Amino acid sequence: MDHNEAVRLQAAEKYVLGKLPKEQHAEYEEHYFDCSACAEEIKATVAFMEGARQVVREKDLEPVGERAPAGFFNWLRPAFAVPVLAALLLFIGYQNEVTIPRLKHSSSQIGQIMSSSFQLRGGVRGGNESGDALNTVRVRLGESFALNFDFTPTGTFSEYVWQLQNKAGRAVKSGHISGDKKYQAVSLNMAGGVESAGKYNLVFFGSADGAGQTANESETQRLTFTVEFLQ
Amino acid sequence: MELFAFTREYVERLREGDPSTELHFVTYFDQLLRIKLRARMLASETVEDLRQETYIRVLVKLREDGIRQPERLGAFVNSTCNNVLMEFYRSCSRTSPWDDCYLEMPDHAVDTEGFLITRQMKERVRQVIGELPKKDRDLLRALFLEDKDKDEVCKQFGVDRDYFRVLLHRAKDKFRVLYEIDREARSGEGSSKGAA
Repeated sequence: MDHNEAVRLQAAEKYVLGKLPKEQHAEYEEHYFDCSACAEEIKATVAFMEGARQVVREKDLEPVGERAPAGFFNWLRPAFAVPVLAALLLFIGYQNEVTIPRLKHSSSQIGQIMSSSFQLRGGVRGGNESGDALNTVRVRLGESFALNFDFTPTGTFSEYVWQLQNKAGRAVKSGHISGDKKYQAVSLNMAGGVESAGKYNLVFFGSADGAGQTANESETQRLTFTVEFLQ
Repeated sequence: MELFAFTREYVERLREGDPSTELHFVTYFDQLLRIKLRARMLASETVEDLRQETYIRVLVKLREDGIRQPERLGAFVNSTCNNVLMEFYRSCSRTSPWDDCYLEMPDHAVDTEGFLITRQMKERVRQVIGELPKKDRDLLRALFLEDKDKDEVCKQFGVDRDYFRVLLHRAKDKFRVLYEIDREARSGEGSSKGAA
């Protein structure tokens, strides 16, 4: 298969949807590995598909009573538009004053967000030593990486807080995960990587009040891995 | 859009273990390998194992023997991955013939679940979807959310499977244009910072 044929066939969409005939399937795989234009095409198709799936799911999780038949533009209804716009103005102001200057300082990290990703296994509360021993993250000092894992917390909360704890138990990174991610494959970006090699725990807590307040007894999942720095 | 071409110099740097070239190599092929392996409905940890194995074999082979056509590095990675896959299937048949490594998707659709989507990508997807006609948005919602056969959903909406493919093609093209603008803006920021 050459590039023109791949374009003519709309092979990227057919491939992703499983509609390419078997003989063309292998030919197209061979082609997109060899053609940077088609490589970008297939990456964009998959990114759009997964992005669309996530966007549609988020919309679907809205409470039924609050959903208008109009679908994706619900938030433009007057009852929502005024407070949403007010919040948006505040958000823009905050971004201009705080977020953007901070991002500029860490711009070197931004380009690395998707550089490497690692699958973490195990992950029951208290850890799984046999599974955890397999989890090794090999990156360079300060290199961003993503951690992929199945989010299987014990207990149900509307929101979870995660902490990346070093071997001393100190949280070196933290963030939030929505409760609707429970039992799903999740990816967390560790922008800027970590500063030292060794054992780390990715610990999840149920957020009791939905405002990120946690207590140790609300730990719901723990994934252990070892960071090794590449030379 | 800036397309990438592999050169003899690139492969030489890879052979010598140049860190930035290795990083580019992994970044470039990471998603391609995932896409290829996910089309075979393998467990996510198997996908990761096979991906890592492919990288290792490619780098070892490059360092030992090099390749005759550096500009066809992509084809070399693909054929190495095919070999790794074949060995994986063979090892499955030796150990447990009914192992789920044989459960390929009947139509080879790519399982996109869990692919790394940045917040910015998602915002652009949201924008593109927001600009679609209501019928198309509802169709996407039904196809992604309802646990129904795709043919059944298309029948319900009075369209055929080709309609969904064309819809996806158009929406993806819009998304790609927006995403390229973002990417160029980011690289512009990077280069202006670099020059400063």
